[in-house]
Amino acid sequence: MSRKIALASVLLGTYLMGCGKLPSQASNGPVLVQGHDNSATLVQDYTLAPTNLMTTDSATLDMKLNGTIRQENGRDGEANIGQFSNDSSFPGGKTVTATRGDASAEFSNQANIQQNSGHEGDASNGQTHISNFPVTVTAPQGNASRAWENDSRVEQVSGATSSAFLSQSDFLNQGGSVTAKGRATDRNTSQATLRQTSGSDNVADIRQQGQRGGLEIVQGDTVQVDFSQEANVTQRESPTRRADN
Amino acid sequence: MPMKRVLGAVLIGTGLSTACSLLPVQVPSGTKAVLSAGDHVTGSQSNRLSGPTLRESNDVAVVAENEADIRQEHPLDTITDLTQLNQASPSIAVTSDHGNVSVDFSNQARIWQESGRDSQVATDSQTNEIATMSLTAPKGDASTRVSNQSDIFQQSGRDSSANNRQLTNRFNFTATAGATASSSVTNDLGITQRSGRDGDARGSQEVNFAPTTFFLPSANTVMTGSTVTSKVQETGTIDQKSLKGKE
Repeated sequence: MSRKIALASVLLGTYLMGCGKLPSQASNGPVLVQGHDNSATLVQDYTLAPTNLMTTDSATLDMKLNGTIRQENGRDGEANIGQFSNDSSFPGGKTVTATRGDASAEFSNQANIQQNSGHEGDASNGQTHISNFPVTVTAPQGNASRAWENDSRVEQVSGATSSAFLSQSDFLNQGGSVTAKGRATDRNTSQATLRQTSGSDNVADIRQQGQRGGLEIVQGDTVQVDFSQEANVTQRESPTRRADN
Repeated sequence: MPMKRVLGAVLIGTGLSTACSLLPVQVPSGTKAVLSAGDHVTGSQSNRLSGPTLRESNDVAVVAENEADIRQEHPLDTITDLTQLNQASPSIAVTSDHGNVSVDFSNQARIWQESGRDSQVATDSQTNEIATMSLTAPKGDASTRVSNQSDIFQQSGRDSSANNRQLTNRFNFTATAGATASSSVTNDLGITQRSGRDGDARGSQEVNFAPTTFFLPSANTVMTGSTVTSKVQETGTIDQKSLKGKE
């Protein structure tokens, strides 16, 4: 009888030890990470009326859109950010004037998506500036600057199948001027940064488009003009991350 | 320094809903509401100013604000439906002959939901609507701040849904100051979801300085002073995390 009990104990112990190894044995297979199916959409926009800022010391027109989405799911994260700035359809431009000090007009879009999914992260950022009337910045005794900026960042980490679409478009059609005694700066920049680290099947699509028209004048003791589009894509497939839910 | 403070707080319309079989909790009338409720909150807050024209010798401040703080904790489903509105129509004109003028419109909402199961729904609509605004302070500062701020937090076993809409419409705007003239328009929303699965978050932010909702012949922003600043800032943050243990 005691032999039977001893044998049963050995078998039971062996079984339990085997059970204890189960997680490590399964570590090469699918791993349940977290829940699933999160969806986020953020839309930001503004329209401007004809604007006249007049001052002696300093004049600032500052338009900012800033969107952030963070997702952490087992699978199927979907994130979308749309940013849209537009001057009005009413006729008349934007004038920013400082008779003694500095003057600036800045229009900036910033979008940031971070996804960490078991698989199938899907992200899109869309940024657009439209200007149908002249933007004029004048600082006869100081510095003057004018800027349209797009900055889009997406970072995706998933078991498999990350998909990202980044779009940046500027349609600045009616010219204008930047006039300064000191430094005159005119910038129109788009920067897209995409990083994907997934088990397999990454898809990246980036489209940048710039359009400028009309007579533009930039003058001052120092003149800096920067019209640039830059895209950086990093894709790295990592077979160790795979998760199903 | 003498200070005249005009609080525009004409409250019209408090939302009622009996859509749910359980009696909804109603946001009380007032510019500020703090609630601790169970399953269903619905209501509206509004300030409507009908063309005030104010002129003072010294400082003048006009404030219209809505504030709601809603907290729900329930073993089953939770629903919040909130609407906030500040409106000045057809115009608001404020003058200080010797001092400063300021006009502040704000909507602020905090919604906190925690339920044990599914169907957690938060809807928050915030609007500031000003047809024509004129600020005059020939000896001082003229400033206006218009803001929408919303913060939604949801935690449930599954199925969290949040929908936040923020809108500011302003048409003709004039600020004339001897010193500083400033305009600040801010939309700020944050949505945080911690659900087992199926989180759905939607944020919409919109500023219109030439809105088509006003049928006026022209739209302009004109500001003068020794220092002039016009800012629009829209900030949206959505943070979603699905937790295995909650599923």
